[in-house]
This record gives sequence, structure tokens and C-alpha cells, in this order.
Amino acid sequence: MTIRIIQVDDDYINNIANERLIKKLGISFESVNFLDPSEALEFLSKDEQKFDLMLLDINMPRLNGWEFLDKYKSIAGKFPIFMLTSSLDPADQRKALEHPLLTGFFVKPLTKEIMLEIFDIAKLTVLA
Amino acid sequence: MSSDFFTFSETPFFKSVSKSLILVEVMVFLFMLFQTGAEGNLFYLALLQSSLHVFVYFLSRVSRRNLYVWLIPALFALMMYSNSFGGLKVTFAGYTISLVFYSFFLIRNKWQSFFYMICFILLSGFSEYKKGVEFETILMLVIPGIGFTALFYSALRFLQKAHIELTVRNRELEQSQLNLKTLIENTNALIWAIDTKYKFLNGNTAFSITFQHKTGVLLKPGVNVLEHISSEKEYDFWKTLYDKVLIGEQVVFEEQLVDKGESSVFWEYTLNPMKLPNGNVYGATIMAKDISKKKIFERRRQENEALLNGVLTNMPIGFQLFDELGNMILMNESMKDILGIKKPEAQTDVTFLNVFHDAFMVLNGLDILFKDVYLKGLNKNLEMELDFNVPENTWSTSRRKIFFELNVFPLYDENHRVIAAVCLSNEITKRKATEKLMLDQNKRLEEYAFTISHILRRPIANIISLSSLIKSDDMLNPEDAQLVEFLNESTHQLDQILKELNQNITIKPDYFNDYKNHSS
Repeated sequence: MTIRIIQVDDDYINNIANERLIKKLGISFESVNFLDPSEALEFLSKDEQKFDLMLLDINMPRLNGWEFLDKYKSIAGKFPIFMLTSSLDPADQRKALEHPLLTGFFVKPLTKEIMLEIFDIAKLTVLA
Repeated sequence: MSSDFFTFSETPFFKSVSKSLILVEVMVFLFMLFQTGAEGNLFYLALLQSSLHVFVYFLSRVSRRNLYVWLIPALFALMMYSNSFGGLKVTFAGYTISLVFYSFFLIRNKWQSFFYMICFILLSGFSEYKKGVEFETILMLVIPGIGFTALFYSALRFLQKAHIELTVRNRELEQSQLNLKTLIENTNALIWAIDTKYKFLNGNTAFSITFQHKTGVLLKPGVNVLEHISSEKEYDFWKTLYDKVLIGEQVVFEEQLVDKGESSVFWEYTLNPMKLPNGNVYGATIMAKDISKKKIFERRRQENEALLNGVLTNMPIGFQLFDELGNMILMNESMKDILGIKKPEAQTDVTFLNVFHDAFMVLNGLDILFKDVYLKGLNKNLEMELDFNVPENTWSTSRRKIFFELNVFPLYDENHRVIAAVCLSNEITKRKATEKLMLDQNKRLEEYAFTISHILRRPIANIISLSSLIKSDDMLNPEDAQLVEFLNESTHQLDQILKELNQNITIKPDYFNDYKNHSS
């Protein structure tokens, strides 16, 4: 089974690092990455492609993760969204836990263990 | 025509008795007439009867046998009865009875006349009895020849009543004299009265003892109070005072005495003229009171006031007092310093509106502030910025920008009505500058924290991530693998330092909890 992942993060290094990490875990996946959250919104509103999970960054120029979620609410896709951040601000974590659209919140960098936990929470069957 | 009755009335006995009676009644009439202030039914009844007796007697002499002569007293009686005779409150009984009595003399048929008389007596007696005329009086009046007895009886009753009234008034006068005496005796003051020749008229025991103590003279009415003053200076002093009062002036003065214990004793003297209704002065009353306690209290109050004024003037907090129109009635030195008002130019009558012009008041909400204080009785606290460089503030010698804190609260009278507003001001320019500096520094610190938390940590997270990926790659030779391991370890250390640094510069949300709990 191929897992379809959408990454919305302006840091391309992070996106590549995540892909490499999943690959190292031996998981079959497809990844669509957006450096600009506005483009991601446009893509999600037009395409009816289904994804298994979304990895979303908080601090992005022009449209941050929270604003992205506010706009994404109207599109209302039905797949788990995990918020990732390099921020050490505990307020972000509190806010994420209360947000209805978020399935999880993790501080970067992602490790193998964290990635497996994300798949587990998203109830995705993977072969480690 | 003749009858036994008139025959009898022509006898010398009847005539002499009749003349004697008339003489007595004339005397009683005159006595009654000159009694001033007499009143009451009995008096008028008697007066009227005696006058009618005399009047009808002379009429009967002139025309004894005229049947119609009684019409004159009858008309007179009618006038009286209709209450139109000068408003005299005379009962009908007396004159009706008299009238009937004399008709009896004039009508020839004595038995017929007697019958009429009885009818009138009964009619008058029963009709008037309940109106205040005593029945015994009516009876006495109707019996011929003893009318004068009623007169004496009435006069006696009148005199008795007058005597009782006089006794009661005397008793009241004695009681009020006693009360007055008790009053002047029980007061701590010395009280005395003199006539125009400085002779003692009356006074209380306290004055008599003091006078005797000072002069050795036992004070009695008639003693000249000036004569026994040994000191010439004191004599002149008191003579001048007495003379002033005896020409009608009131004199009040205080005298400070020093007793043997060297503690001051104060006396207050009040001298008043005694005047007759026509305004002539016939003497003077003098009252001397020991007012030492009052003076001590007054002195302490003055000291306290001076102390309070000293505190208000010299305290390092600006103090202003405003009346209900917003006029500034007091401003202390600290306030003048804050506002930059030069001491020689300081005007206590400078109004608040003059100092802070209307626009300034409205701009800073001070007009509303004062309305709140006066109309709603609220306590107000606010901080204000004042720039003395602007043209509106040329009244100040200061050329700087200041911050000050105002605490305005109302002052109440005993009826809880706002009578003034107190304004306490504190210059807080330094504090505000420090606050501004702190806020500025805090903002920079927050920016620094944000840089660490968000911006700096992003590349570090990437380095950690990438080094972890390289480390897990089996293709590296052992030496390079060790270098990657060191890189990974160092990056983790750096990340840890950043986390700790971020924790240290971030203010925890519960930082003010202790203060909040304390204040609540």
C-alpha cells in the first residue's frame, strides 16, 4: 500500500529530510510538497485526490499554519493533519491541542520514532 | 286712679329706703365704671342693673304714672339683647328682670303686674340659666330692694377673682425670680448689675465673694463698686468701661491673668446696658466668665491647624483644594514646583480653568473628572502628561515634558454634601521614563526570544535531522561516521542550550499569580 502524504512547509530542506526519513523506514509513499501554503490551498480545493496525512508547518511567510487551517476549514478534507514546528513556544502546543482540525503536534526535527508514531496515530498500516 | 301699692310707695318710709338704695347703687355704678380691665357676665349684669335702677328711678319721678315710660328701658334692653351695644356680652336676664321690676311699679293693677313679673322672671331665668348666669344671681336681682346686694356680691366676686389672679401672678413672679436667681447662682460666671451711679444693684454670690476678697468690702445694694478699687489704673480701666456701657454700648473683652501657679487664666467680660422702654439707660449688667479651657482648646486647635498647614505645605506631594465651581483655593509648594509656578507669582486665587484652559481640560477629560467628583462623589485616579513647551502652557516657567499622577476625591460637610475637591498630585516623570525603558527593553527581549524560538531553531532542527539521516547511512567509513556522530552530538547540545535560554527569558504565565492572590 502506498501512503499519500502532503507536506506544506516553506523549508524545502525539511521536506526532503522528511521524505528521506520515511524512505529509510522502508515505507512505500508518495509525497506532494508545497512551499507556499496558498498554493496548497488552491491545489486542495481543485483536486479531489485523497491523502492519508498532512504535515503542516506553523511559521511560514504570508500565511502561517494557523491561518492556513482557518481557510482550509471551508475545504474540509477528511484526512489527519499533523502540525510540525521548530518553535519552542509552549503557547503553540496548547493552541494545537485545542484545534479541532489537528490530529497531532510535534516539534522538529522528526525522528524515526516520531514518524512511526504519526503513522500509528493516523491509523496507517506500515511495514517498518 | 289710685292703688294700695302706690299709696305705700308714697309713704316716707318707702321714699327714704328708695333714696338710700339709689344712693348706694349710684356709688356702686361709679365704682364699677372706673374698674379697668374688669370682665365677665356678673360684672356687666350688675353694672347694667345699677344703671337701669338709677335711670328708671328718675324716669318714675318725672312721669310716675305714665304707662309707657317703661318702653325706653325696654328698647335699651332689646339693643343689648341683639348684641349691637358695642359688642358687650351681657345676658338678657339682668335687664329683663329689672325692666319687669320697674314695670311693676308703674302699672296700676299691682296683681296683674305681679303676675307678669313672675312670668318674666321664670321665662328669663329658665332661658338664660344655661348661658352662664347663676340662678342665685337671678333670684337676688328679682327681689325688689335687694338688687344692691347683688351688686355687692358681684363686686365681691370680681374683687375675689382679681385677688386670686394677683396671687397667682405673684407666685409666678416669685417662681421666675427664684429660677433666675438659681440660674445666676449656679453658673460659674460672676454676674452683677450697677446703676448709672456705679452703685451695686444685684449680683450673684460668686461676685460678692470675689468683690469682698479683692476689696474687703461686704457687697450690698447701693455700694459703689468703683470706690473700693484701690489701684488707680484698675479704677480708670473699669470707669471707662462702665461709662461706655452706661451710654448704651455693648462691650466684650478678654483678659489674661496669671495666677500663682504661673499658668494662664483667661476671663471674658460681657457688659450690656440696661434700658428702659424709652431707650434711656438705667444701669449695666456685667458677666465675667473663666474661658481658660476654651482658650487652651483654641490654642491647641491653632497649633494643630499650623501643623496641618505645615504638613500640607511641605509634603513632597502636590496638594490642591478646589471649591465646587472649580476654583482653586489652595495649592502647596510641591504643586507649584511640579507645575513650574514661580513662588513670587503664586496666586492662591488662580482658578483651575485659568491654569488649565478649557481645551486642555476637555482634551484630558478633566472637566468630566471634576463633574464625577462633585456630582457623583467618586474618587478619581489618573496619570497625565503635560508638555510645558506648547504655547498654551506659557504660565509655567518649566520648559520640559512631565508626567504626573492625580488623585482627586471629594470633601463632604456634615450633611454629606460635597463642598470641595482635594487633588493630590505626584510627579512620576522618572517612573514613567523608567517604565518606558523597561517596556522597550522587554520588547527587544521578546524579539530576541522569538528569534531563538522560531528563526534560529529552524536551521538547527534541519542540521539535527540531516545529521541523523547521514549517521544512519551505513555507507560512511568509521572515521567519517565518528565525525557525523560528533556533529550530531554538538548540534543536540546547541539545541539544548537554545531551549534553556528560551526558557530563561520567557515570562511564565503564572508569574503574577502571587500578587493577584494577595490583592484579591
